[in-house]
Amino acid sequence: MTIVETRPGHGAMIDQRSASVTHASSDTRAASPGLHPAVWAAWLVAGSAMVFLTSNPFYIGVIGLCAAVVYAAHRTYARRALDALLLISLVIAPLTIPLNLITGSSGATVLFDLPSVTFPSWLAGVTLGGTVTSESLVYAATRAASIATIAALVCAFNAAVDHFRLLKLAPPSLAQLGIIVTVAALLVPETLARAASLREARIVRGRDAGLRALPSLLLPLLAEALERSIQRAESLDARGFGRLAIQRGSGDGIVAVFGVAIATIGAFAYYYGAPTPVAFAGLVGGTLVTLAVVVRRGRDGALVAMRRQSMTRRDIGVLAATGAATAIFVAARVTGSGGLAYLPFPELIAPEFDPVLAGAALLLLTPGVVALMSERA
Amino acid sequence: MTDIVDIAALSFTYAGSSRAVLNRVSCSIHEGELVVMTGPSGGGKSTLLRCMNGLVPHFHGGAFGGRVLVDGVDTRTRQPRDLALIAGMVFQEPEAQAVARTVEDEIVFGLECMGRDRQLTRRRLEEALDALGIHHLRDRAIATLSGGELQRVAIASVLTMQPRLLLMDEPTSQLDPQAAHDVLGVLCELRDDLGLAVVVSEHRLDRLLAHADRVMIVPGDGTVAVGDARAMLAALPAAPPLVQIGEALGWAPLPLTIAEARRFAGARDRAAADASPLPSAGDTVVGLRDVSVHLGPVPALRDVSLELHEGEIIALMGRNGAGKTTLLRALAGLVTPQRGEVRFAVAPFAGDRYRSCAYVAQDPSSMMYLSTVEREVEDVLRGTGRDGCVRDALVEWQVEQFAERNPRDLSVGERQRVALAAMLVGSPTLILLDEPTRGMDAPTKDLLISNLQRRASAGATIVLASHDVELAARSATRVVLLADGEVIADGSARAVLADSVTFSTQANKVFGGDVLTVEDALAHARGIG
Repeated sequence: MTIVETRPGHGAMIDQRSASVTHASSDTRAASPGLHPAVWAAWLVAGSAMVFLTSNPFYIGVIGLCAAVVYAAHRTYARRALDALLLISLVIAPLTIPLNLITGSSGATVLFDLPSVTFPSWLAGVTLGGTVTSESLVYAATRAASIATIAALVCAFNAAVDHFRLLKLAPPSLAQLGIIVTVAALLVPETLARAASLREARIVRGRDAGLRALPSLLLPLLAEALERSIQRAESLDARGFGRLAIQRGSGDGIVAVFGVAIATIGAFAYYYGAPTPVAFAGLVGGTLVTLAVVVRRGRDGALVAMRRQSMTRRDIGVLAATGAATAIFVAARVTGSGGLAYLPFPELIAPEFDPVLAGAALLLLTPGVVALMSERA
Repeated sequence: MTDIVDIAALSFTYAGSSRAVLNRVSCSIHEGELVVMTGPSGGGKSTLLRCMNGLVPHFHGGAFGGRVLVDGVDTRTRQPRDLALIAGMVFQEPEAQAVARTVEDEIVFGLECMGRDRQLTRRRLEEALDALGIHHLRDRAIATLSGGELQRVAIASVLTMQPRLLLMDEPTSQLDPQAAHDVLGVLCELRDDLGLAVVVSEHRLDRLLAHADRVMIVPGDGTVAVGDARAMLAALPAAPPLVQIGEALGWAPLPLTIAEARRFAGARDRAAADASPLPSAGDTVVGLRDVSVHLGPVPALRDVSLELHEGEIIALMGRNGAGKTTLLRALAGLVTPQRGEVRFAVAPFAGDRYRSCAYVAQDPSSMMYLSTVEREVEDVLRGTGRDGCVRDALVEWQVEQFAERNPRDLSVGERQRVALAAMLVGSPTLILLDEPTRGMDAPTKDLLISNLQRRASAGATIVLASHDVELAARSATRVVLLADGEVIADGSARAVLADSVTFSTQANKVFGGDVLTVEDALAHARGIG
C-alpha cells in the first residue's frame, strides 16, 4: 500500500468527519456579502435609462465599458453560464444593422444600392432595400451598440445580484409572484448548464459538439427544462409554497384583477381613443384599486424574510453615484447640452464629446471599484 | 402507539399507464418510528412516498383508489402544500429541489414562505446547520456544492419545518460513508427525541437496518409488506452483508448491527492488512503526472500522480468534494489540467480518444438526448466508431425491454443502466464511471459488478468513483483515496479498505484483518481463509 505524503494542513485523515471546516473561497460564496440587492436594481435601471437617453456612440461606449468591467469583477465560476448569454447578445446585436439598413436609409452619402420593393399602401407602403447611406450605417451601428450595452448591463446585474434576496425586498403581497418569477429565471442558467452537459455528452460519444450540433440539442434541452420545471414545482408544492397566499382569501385577487382591467381599458381609451375624463378616471381609479390591494396584502406579510437587509455606507455611496449619473444625463437631455442626442442625418458629422457627461457615465463603474476594493481588503 | 399515516386499500395507476403501481395496499406508520422502504428500482417506492404527502394524486394525477390519512387528514381533501407542515419530503434528486441561491436562503425558504417569525426561523436554521454538520456551507452558493453537500442541504431545508413525518427518497445515495452515518444519526435523534416518524426509501440497507424499527418491502407487483425489522430480514430482496453472513453461518437471531454480529464472530482480527499487495498489473494505459485542476479559483485536484494499468478496476473514494469527479473528468478529457499532464500510453487514445475511452457521468439523464433507448446506443456506436452491436449492449445491461422507450420515462436506476449500455457499447479499453450505483437496486449492482469484472478480465481498465464501500470491496482491485484534491492512499482494495474507520465494509468491521466481502467472511469463519 502506498501512502502518499501530503502537504501540512492538507493531509486529511480518512476518517475525518465530513463536516470538517473547509474554507470557501470568494468564488464559491454567493454574492450576498456584496452590495445591497436594491442598489444593484438601481444600478441596472440607471444604466439602462442612460443608454435610452443617449444615442451618442461615445457615451454608449463608456457605459458599455463600465458594464463589462463590472461584469468581469463579479463573474463567478458558478455563473459562468452568463458568458454564453453575453456572447449570444453580442452576436445578435450586430445582426440588427442589416435589418435597420434594409428597412430604409436616408442621408447624403450613398454607399451602395440594394434591390428594393415597396409594399402597397394597405400594407403601410413600407419600402425594403434601396439606397444604403453612411449615415444610416452609423445610425444602425449606434443602435446595435445600445443593444449590446443593455445586454452587458443585464449580464453584470445577473452576475452580481442575489435574485432571491432581491425578491424579498418586494412587498409581501408580490412575494408569491416574485418567487414564481425567480424560479422561472432559474431555468435560464440551468438550461445553459444543461446545454454544457449535453455538449459534453456529445463529446464523449465522439459526436460533433460545435455550433452545428445546436439544432439537434434544442429539443432535448426543452424536454430537460420542462422536466426540471415539473420537479421543482413538485418540490415547491411539497414545501408549502403558496399555502398562505391561498389561505388568505381570493377576494383580494379578484379585486386586483378588476383594478388592472379597468386601468388597462382606461389607458387604452385615453391614449388610443378620445382622452375623455371618463377614460382618465378609469386609468387612475383602476391603478389606485390595484395599489390598494398590494398595500393591504403587503401588511398581511405572506413571506417573512429571516434577515432584514440594511444598507451600508458602501451601498449608499454606489446609490448616490448612480443617482448622480442619471440626474446629469436627464439634465443634459432636458437642456439639450453635451450632444446626448446624436443623429447622423442628414449628413454624417462627428458626435460631440462632453467630458462631464463621459465622467457621469463612468460613475456606473463604482460597483466594480467597490468589488475590487473589497477583494483587495 | 398513534398512527401518523394510515393507508387503507390504496391503489394507484399513473395516467396513460395500464399497470397499477400500487394495488389495494393497506399499512400504517406509527409516530416515532423509522421505517425503511426497499424494493427493486421502478417498483413504486417513490410513488408510495408521494402518496403520504398528497403529491399523489394531486400533483401527478392518475387513478387513485382507497385513502391515505396523514395525521388524521385525508390526503384526497388537502393539497400537498397544506400537508407540508405535517409531512416533509426530501426528493431523490436534490438538484431539482433547490430554489434559492445560497445555502442559508435555501434552508429557511420553507419557513419564510409560511410567514414564520424571524427569531424562530433563525433558531431552526442554526439547529439544522448543526444537525447536518453543514455550518461551514451556510454562505456558499448552491451552484458550487457537490452532490453530497447538496443532499445534506436538502435534508436540512426540510428539517427546519419540523414536520411530524419525514419522507426521504434515497437520502444518502450521494453521501460519503461518514456523511451518511451523520445523517442517519440525526434522523435517529429526531425520532427518539421529538417522536418524528421517518420513512426512508433506500437500496443500500447496510447502515439503515441497524436503526430501523420496521421494514417495508415494495416488490414492484403492486403489493407492500411491512413488518418488524428483524422479522423481515429473511424476506429482504437483497440482504446487507451482515445478514448474509449471519444466514450462511446460522446465527440466530440474525444480527442487525456490527455489535450484535461480533457476539457471534468472536474476537476481531487486529492483524494489519498492509501485506496485501496489488495484483500484478498489466501495461500502463494512462498516467497522470502532477495534475492540478482548479474549478474557478477553487483547487479541485492538487498534484495528482497516478498510473492506471490494463485489467485494473480502480475505485476512487473520498469525502464529498474530494475531487473524484474532477479526476474522472480529467481522464475523460472534459477538464484541462492547469498544471501537469494526462498521458495515454496506448496509441488509439491520442487520435481518437472516445473510441477507446467511455465515460458515464454521475447524472445519467445528462448523458442522454435521444427519443429512445435504442437510438441512444446506436448514436454512441456510430459516434465513437467502436465495433459492437446495439442488441448485445441492451442485453448485457438487461434493458432490452426498454429499447423503444424514452429514457426520460424510466426510473433513476433504469436510466443508469441505459446510460451504461449506451456509453459502454462496444469494447472501450478505458471505462470511467461516476457513482455508477446511484439509484441501483441490489440485483442491478450484482450485474454491474459481474459486467465490469468480465470487461477487466478482457483487458479493460476501469475507474469508478464511488461512495459505495461494498461495491469497491467486491469489485475493485485497487483503491485510491482522495482528500481535498490530493491522493492520500493508493493500494490494493484489501490494504486500503481493511481497518479504515470510514471506508471499510461490514464484514471487515466484524472480522477485522483483511476480510472485506461476505465470501471472505465465510471463508474466515470456516477457518479456511
